[in-house]
Amino acid sequence: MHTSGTVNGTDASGKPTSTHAQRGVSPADKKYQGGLEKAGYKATAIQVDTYGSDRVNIYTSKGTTTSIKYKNFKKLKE
Amino acid sequence: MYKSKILFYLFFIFLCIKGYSQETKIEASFTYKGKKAKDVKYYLVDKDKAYLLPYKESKIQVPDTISTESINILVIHKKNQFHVPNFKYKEAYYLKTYFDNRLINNRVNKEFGGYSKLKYLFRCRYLIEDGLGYVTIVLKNKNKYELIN
Repeated sequence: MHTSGTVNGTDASGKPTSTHAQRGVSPADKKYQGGLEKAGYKATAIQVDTYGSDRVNIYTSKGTTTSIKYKNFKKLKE
Repeated sequence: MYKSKILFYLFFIFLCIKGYSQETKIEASFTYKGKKAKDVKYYLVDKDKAYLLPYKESKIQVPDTISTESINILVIHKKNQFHVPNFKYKEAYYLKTYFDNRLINNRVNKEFGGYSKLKYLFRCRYLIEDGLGYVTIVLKNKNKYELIN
């Protein structure tokens, strides 16, 4: 899970920097999911992409299975 | 028989030395306007000095003498010079940096959009990605460092 906001900071020379969440599923997300799978959780992870794109990514440790728009995801029912 | 024993011992010593070395190698690249740039140099910044990091097979080598969790890296490619602040080299999966200021076919905006384009309209901004799920935007650095190769 990533924060949806922007974190402002400075580099070594004092120049301003800004950090925000990356779009999509990162290698770190996949690794974390891999750890859960090793621990016995056989579920698929759901990530709501809150920065830049309104998409919901569904993924396993091997990669993204599918990606749908957030407004369509909210309409999903049993 | 003796030769094979000596060879075995030498091989064992080689494996021990290789296993003991804790040098961290990280894949690093700089994409300039959609193309991977060559002749990119990565320096380790320490106050006013910058020490060149060895770069082989698209990987930078961070020496095992460094004990801090994060380091400041200076990236230089022709007139492009910028910092990679607080780079967590032990946790990071790679170090990918990007620059693209084109109005049309700007791949950086397509891939890493979401930030204010107006804010960086007339500024040289570089994007840094390390695989940990975050993107950092930094500005061009004009400071002069004592480059130690």
